[in-house]
Amino acid sequence: MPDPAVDLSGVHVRFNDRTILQDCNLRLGAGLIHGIVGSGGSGRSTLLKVIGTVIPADAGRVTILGHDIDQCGGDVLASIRSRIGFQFQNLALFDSFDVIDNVLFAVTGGDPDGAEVADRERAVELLDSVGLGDFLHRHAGQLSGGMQRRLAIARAFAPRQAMLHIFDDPVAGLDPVTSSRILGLIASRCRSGTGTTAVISTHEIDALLAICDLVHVIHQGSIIFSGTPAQAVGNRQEVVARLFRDPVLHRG
Amino acid sequence: MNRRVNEIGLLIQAIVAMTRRPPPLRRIVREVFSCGNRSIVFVCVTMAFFGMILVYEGCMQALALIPDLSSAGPATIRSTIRVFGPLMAGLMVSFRVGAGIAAEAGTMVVTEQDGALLVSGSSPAEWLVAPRLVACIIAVPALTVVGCLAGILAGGALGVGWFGIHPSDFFSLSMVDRGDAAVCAAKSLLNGMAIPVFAAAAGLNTRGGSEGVGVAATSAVVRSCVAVAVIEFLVSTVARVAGA
Amino acid sequence: MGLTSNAATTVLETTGAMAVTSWTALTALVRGRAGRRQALRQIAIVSVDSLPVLVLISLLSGFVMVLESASYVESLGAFSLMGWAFGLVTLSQLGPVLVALMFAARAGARTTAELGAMAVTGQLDALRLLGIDPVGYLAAPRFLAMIVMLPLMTALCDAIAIGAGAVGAAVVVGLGPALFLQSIAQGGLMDEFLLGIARTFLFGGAIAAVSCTFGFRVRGGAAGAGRAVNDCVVVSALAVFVIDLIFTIAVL
Repeated sequence: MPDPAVDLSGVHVRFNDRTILQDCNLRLGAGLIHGIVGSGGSGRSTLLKVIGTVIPADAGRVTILGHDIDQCGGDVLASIRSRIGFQFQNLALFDSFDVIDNVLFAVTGGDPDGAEVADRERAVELLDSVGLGDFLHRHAGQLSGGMQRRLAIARAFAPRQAMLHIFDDPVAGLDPVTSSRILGLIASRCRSGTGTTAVISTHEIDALLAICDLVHVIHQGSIIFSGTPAQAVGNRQEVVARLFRDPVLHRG
Repeated sequence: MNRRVNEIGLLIQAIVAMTRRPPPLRRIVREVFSCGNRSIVFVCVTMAFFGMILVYEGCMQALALIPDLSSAGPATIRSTIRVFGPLMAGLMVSFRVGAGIAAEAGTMVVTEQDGALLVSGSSPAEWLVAPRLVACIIAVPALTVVGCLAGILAGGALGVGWFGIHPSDFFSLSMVDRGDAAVCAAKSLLNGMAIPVFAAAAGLNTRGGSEGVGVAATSAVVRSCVAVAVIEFLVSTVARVAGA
Repeated sequence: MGLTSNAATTVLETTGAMAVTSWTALTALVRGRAGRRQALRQIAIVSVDSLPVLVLISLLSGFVMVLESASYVESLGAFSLMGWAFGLVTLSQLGPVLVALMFAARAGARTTAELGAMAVTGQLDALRLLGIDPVGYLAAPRFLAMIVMLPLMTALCDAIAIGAGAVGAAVVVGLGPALFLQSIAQGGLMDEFLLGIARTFLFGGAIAAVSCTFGFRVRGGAAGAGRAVNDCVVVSALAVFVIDLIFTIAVL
């Protein structure tokens, strides 16, 4: 088995006096689509940010794409980050940029002014694929909610050498038809890549089970279950069973 | 959600980021213009008023002791260059641009754009601080010089017009030497370094939604003003020890 | 041309609005409409908020004045005049102006932010519906607090700066603190001190007028409130310098 794309062992994260992640262990195999499921306040978003190297762990080991995050220097960290695409739960679009510059920023690793022709072609192709091809020069802040969400997803696919895509609630607030279309788009792009790993967290359990290879359940800051969708549905642990029986509970 | 940012750390990060990838010239030019445009009238007007106040007060006090105003001009020029120019220009630039820098940084934090900068291969230090750091290191000394001129000219106009001091007596550099110019340069350069860093740090430490951005903007002004005062103190101390 | 007349209109309009706010607030004060609890609360807020910064700035400016006058004093051998010159500059101009500027940046900005938030969230309209004039109700206690507290804090800061100057003189030129303080006490500086304090009543009124007016006029959400805070600080600083020059010329 190849090295996992993500390997967390004994990770703790605290904010002020609140413990968000507690002894969190998680291995995400490379080249697979992983679903993260947990109720509101379970530490889901924080977990994704630790995986995305946005926030550091207070304790424990975080290995992303083969590098221990605590041990590596700024240059290595920058190269790891250039291989991560992240869609934030509240999108975090650069609202002073237009649509194409938002994507170009990620394509070029923070230098949209220095974008070359190939970078632009890549950005336009990505935006076409999410149906924003006609809005390239609209300001991100002027888009409708659904369009902003699609822009954020396009940006998560943008980095050239992306090996790890992270989606935090990509279909929040969208109607069921659109959300299954977007999840399908994410799945097909991930499958078409060579060995890219995807991490998706969403409350659309049924749609998620349909596209992901493995499901991980987070509860009170630790991973309490990892397995295939079929194993997840058949699991008898109370918390797990409740999550997969009643999708309304873990909205948030 | 993120860890607290401290000013020294942010400055070091910005410098490291600059050595890795210098900020594009276009952005630096834009930031110099934005800082200069926003501040120049304000700095000149406040400095002109302050210059007139200095001269008026100084002349009235001098007249009460000795009816000789010949050193009023040179003394005003020297104290403006060494102390009041860098101090007032630094405070006024903090007032004018500190809140704006903090508000932009704070808005990015509240909407998690700082995280998006990180995973896009940039960082708040590189994207927000580095171009402004370069821009303010250029703009603040320039504004200080222009502000000093405005103060000295306005004060001189009052001294010549009201107190009848001869222009050649007033506008005399007899009390100014290289050390004074060096002190002024050091203070204003350090101000240019400190103001964007302190303001951005206040913004990046924003907590609690859009109301937090307002709090960050006001604390940015105060913190960069305090930084200006501390720089004033440190440079004056060094100058005293070095005998400049 | 258009720009000039626009600017002139803005200046006139703002001055007019400030005059109206001041008039309403001061008449409410005179008629005893400002609730005592409200006023005491504002006084507490204003002092607690500004005091640390003001103390710090006074200490620093005291040291700087000594450092910068040291070589002058030494070259003239005018040690006995050092305290007098220091006291003159600090008590008559530098103290009041610096304290007022920092007071505007702290208490003024806070007032604008607070009133602006009330304007944006419709709380001012809610007061009007209850038949309460928000300007009298909210501005009067703030006027009172600023007009009372700025002079008191200036006096305190004068004392702190002189203390810093005495310590500084001992360290920098080896002048005994007793001599330094004696030179201030026997320098006939009471008039300067009183005139310095007298102008801070005007500064306090101006900062109150600016910060309340800009707060009440906030439109356009959080961004509008941010701009108003910035404008408040800038206009307050201008007002301080203009008033100071006029006052100095009028009384000397």
